[in-house]
Amino acid sequence: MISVIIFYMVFALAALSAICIFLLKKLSYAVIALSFVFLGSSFVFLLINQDAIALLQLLVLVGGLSTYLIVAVSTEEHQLALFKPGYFVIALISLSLSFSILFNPSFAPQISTEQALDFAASAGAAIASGYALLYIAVAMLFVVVIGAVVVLKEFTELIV
Amino acid sequence: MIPFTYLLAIGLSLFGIGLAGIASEKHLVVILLSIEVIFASSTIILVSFFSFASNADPSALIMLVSIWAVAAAEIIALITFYVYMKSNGISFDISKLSKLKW
Repeated sequence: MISVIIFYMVFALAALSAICIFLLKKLSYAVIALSFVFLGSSFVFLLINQDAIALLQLLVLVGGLSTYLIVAVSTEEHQLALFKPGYFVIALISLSLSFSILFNPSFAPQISTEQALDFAASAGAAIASGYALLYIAVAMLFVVVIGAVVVLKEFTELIV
Repeated sequence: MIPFTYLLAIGLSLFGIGLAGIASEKHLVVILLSIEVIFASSTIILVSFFSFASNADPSALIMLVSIWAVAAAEIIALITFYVYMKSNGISFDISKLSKLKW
């Protein structure tokens, strides 16, 4: 039951990050949002017991390609304001379709009270075990990359 | 264990959001990033079908590796386009790119 609750959080992370790709005004923020989409799909693979695929997704897409993309695109200051909100209906229709699947009462999880009380105790153990260190390492890598880009921009402004 | 419909729900919603990103943007880089979102959703759906099948063949995951290869190649092509167009002052608006038009 804890995995279903974690799944809801991962769903929210991935969907909101995917919407943020074309709603944010700066291009470097959009690339960071894309890396969070990859991170969410890696969490999904971890939740359905496909550990090797989650690890490969984390190493190849999140660790390698997103870092490369952040460093390459970070010189762009402002994205062109080209968003047409009429086509945003497509995303809303698909989100409503998927939520109608998700909140169908025949598929809904039945949580008893003792399971809900047990959630607070088991959440910490579930987060701190298994592959959590890898996700912490990826988060630290992102912080280092973004900090390096910021420091580099400050430094080039000082020189030039 | 997550129910199968939940995985279809996240894959479907990510696919729709990526499709809306392609349809609603004219910036070249954002369109390619939305295609990356569609790749992520397709890997989620593929792995969930693989994980819930009773007699799954592990050689089906070759398809997954090929999806990753296409995504990686697309990111490399994106960075090449980005650096070239940025250094030559070409606009990223795809409605203004008319050199290959008939």
